[in-house]
Amino acid sequence: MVPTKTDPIWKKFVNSEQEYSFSCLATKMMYTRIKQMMRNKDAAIEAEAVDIAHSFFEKNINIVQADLNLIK
Amino acid sequence: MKNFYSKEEVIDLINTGKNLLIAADEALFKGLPKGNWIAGSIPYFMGDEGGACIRDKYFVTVLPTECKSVSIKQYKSNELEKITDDYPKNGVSFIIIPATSETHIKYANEIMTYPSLFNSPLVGWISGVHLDDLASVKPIIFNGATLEPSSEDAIVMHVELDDAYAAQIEIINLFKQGDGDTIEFPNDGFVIDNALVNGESVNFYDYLTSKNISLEQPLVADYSGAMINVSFQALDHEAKKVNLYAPVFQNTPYKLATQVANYEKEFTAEVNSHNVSPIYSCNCILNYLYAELEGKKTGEIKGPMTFGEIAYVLLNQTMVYVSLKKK
Repeated sequence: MVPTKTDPIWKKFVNSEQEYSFSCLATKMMYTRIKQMMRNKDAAIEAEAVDIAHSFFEKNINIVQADLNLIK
Repeated sequence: MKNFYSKEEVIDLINTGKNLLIAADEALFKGLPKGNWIAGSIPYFMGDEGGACIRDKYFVTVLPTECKSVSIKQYKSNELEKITDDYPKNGVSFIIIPATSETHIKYANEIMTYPSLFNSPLVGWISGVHLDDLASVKPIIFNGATLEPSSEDAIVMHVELDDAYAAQIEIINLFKQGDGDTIEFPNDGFVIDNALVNGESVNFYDYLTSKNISLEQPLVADYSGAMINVSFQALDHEAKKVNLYAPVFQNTPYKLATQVANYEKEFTAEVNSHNVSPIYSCNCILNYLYAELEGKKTGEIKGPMTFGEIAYVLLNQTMVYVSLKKK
C-alpha cells in the first residue's frame, strides 16, 4: 500500500539527506533526481519532488515494494 | 533462443504478427513488410558465438507472449516530453535513437528532468553504424508500422503487459568509482573545457593529459548506489577540450573508474550472480572494442553492442537488460 500524497512520509523523504540502500535501479535514479531538485529548496520544488516520488512508487509498486519499505 | 535471422525468417516473424525489436546493418531494413516492429542500425552484436560484427543478418528480439499489445510512436526532438505521456498503464517502452542526431543530444541532456520519466520502464539504445562507415553513413531508426527510416527521430514501442507481470530494468556495469580525485563540472554538456578537481578549477584536457589518463576508463557518478558512466570520446588537442559520449552534469561528483582486469571473465561472473533471463538486453560498442569481445561471450545475455544504452537515461559502457516479474 502506497501512502497517500499528503502523508508526511513524502516531505520527509524528499528532504532526507539519508543514503538508502535501494535495490531497484529505477528507485536509485528517481532518488538522485529528487536530490538534484532539492538543492533549490523552495515550496514549489518540494511539492514537485513529492509528486514525482509519490507517483513513482504508486506506478511501480509491483517492483519497488522493498524500496518503499526502506523509507516508511 | 535464436537471435540471428535471415530476411525471409524476419518477414515470416513480421507477417505472423510477432512484436519485434530489430538490430541490423542499415542496408537491411528496406523490403521488410509493415508490422509490429521497430529497428535501429548497428552491425555489432553479442550472439550465441560471442561478440561479432555481422552485416548480412538481423538480430531480432521477439517479445514474449506476456506482451499483450504494442503501440509504435515516432518522436521528433521537440516531442520527447510526450514519450512519458504515452507510457503504457502496465508495461515497458523500448526506445531507439540515432547517434549524433539532435534527438540524441536533447534526450541525453534533458530526459532526467521530465517529471514522469520513472513512472514506467523506458529502455533502449542509440543506433550506430559500422566503424569504417562513420564518416559516410548516418545511423538510423526504422518505424515498422510506417516503413519510414529516420536519422533524426526517436522510435518507441510502448508495450502493454499481461496484468500478472511487471517489467524491471537493471544494469550490469563493471566499472566502479576509483579512489582518486573527485571531479565536478561547472556546466552540463558533452564537450568539456574546465573541471573542478577536488574543488580546484583546472583545464580538464590538461588534467587528463598530464596524468596520462586512459580514455578507456570512464568517468563514474554514483546515482544513489547505481554506478553511471560517462565515456570519453576524444581529446580535442587544438581546442584543449574533452569530448564525451554522454553529458556530464553540474553538482554531480564524478571519479575515474577502476580498471577492469578481464571483462569477459568478470562480466560472466556478474551475469551469473544476477541469475536473470532478460527479455531484452544491449551492451556498449566501447566494451566490445576495449575489452576485445569479438569471439568472446559475456554470459548468456545477448543483444546489440550499441552507440549508447538507455535505462531511463543515456548510459555508456554499461549492459542494460529488462526482465519480467510475476506480480
